Amino acid sequence: MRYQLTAVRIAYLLVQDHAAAEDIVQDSFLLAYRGCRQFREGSLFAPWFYRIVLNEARQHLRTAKRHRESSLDTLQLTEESSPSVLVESDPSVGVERTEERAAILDVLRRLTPKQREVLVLRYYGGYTDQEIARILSVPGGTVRWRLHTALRAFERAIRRVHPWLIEPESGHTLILAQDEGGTHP
Amino acid sequence: MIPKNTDQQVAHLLREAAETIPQDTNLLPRLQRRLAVAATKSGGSSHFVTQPHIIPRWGYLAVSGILVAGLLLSAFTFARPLILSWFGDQGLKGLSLQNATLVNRTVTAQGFTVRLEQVYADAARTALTMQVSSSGTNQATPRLDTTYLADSQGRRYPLLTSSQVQGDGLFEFAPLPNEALNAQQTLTLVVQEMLPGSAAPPVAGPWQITFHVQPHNGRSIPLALTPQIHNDVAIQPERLDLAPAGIRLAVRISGLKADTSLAALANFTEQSGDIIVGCPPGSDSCVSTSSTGNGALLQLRGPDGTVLMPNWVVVQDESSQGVGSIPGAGQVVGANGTVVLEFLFSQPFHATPGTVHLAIDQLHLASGSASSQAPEQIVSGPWTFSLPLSA
Repeated sequence: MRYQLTAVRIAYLLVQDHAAAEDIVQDSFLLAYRGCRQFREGSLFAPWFYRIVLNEARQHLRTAKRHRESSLDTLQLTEESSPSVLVESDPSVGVERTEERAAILDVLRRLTPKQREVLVLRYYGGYTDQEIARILSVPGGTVRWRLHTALRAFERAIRRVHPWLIEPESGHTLILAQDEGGTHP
Repeated sequence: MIPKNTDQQVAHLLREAAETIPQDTNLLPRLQRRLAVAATKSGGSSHFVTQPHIIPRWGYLAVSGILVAGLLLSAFTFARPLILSWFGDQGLKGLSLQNATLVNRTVTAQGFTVRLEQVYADAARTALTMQVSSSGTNQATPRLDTTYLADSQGRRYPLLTSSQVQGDGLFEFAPLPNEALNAQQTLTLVVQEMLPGSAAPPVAGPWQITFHVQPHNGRSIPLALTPQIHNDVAIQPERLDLAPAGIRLAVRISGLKADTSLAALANFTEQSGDIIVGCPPGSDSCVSTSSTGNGALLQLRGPDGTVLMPNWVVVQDESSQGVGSIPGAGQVVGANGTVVLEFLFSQPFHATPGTVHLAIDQLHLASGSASSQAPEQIVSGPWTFSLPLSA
């Protein structure tokens, strides 16, 4: 169970729902237990397990999307809408941090699932391009491309809806600002 | 305070959001309940999991486990060279393993053993699978960045990409020239040094293995197309090589300034400094407002509608002796203002009869001179061509 905290947190960043993240990881452990014969000898457990977690998270998102479409089809989110992700109130965490967490999750929610996956695996999981390629079963070039588009989308979303996340009072350089100069109108 | 570095900024934000999940999260009790429920359902009675029944059941499971592990181990031992996957290369995944040449040769030096297992060569790449192991205490998989292939004429084929997981690796090199695809070739793998880890110094080799490979030549189609000119830059596709597992497209670009940087010119992705574009058809993340279609600056649309983007771009120049090279930072086009780029696609088209459509959105032009202060210039097209496969 040494992977459970990281796995739940990865799932949470992907689906933004604490209870769902725990369910996803529980299901993943059960699937890993049942499917352990598929585990390739000599391979690392964590990447194999996180692939299962990602698949379960994708399944959850598909199901959740269908549910939303059928029951909340009148609700339209806009770029400027306020964060709709609920972050549990924790007395040990100040209001500011709670707001910050909600804003980050809101930004993540604006990425495509594939963009979220590479961003979370790289910047939360700490995996390299090649390791992410292995987890996602895609070429390394695809990972690099997805990471690039994910970072751009992440930055755009922050600038549009929560610029204060990266524009503290000191006013330092924005994320990816160096990639924007003239190349991308 | 958020750190200034981009990677640190993003990592900080994600860590902050992830910490919503408390450190003391424990799924074990709920998992145990679910397992118990599953066992109850399958056994029909909670007595099924009581102690007297567990002992023989565990004994049975242990014996079964040992048998299964033994079978798996023996299967891996005998079949390992054949079942070693081609990692993430989509083109190679579609191949029969009979297309690969089994080598199974080993060289050991400086405490590191390199085992060359399989080789596959076509017009789009030369790929090989290797296993690297260390006899020392360092268990980390060493990186083999300074690796190349050499042929009997002394030509060097640079490493394009590699994937290494737990000692197993897929290494892909610039492809053989067309004339070398028609007969068996003798190549030498040269690993110049191992990088055991960030904390350990590089270990100098070399590790060399000479082997034979029978390339798969596919079909080479010479193209006689009129050059198209935008902003004084002319582009003319010269040749299309259709290989079993990929495509090589040779394109002549002329009308360039002599000091044009080859590295900038060969950059067909919006990510600066990285010439790899890899982005599979149907990927919803390849969307950009500044380029055609799926975000690529160059696209090849096959007769079956498949859209491919180049995985690698190599340069053919006077010094390359027919072998594509990855341009260095200081390399420039030269006085004739002309260069031939080879676009390598790691997937083939599923159906070849018909017409292939090539679209190049824009070129990145920058001075290769270290003293130049001129900014990078974007020359917009599009240059579009129809390439008949019947030629």
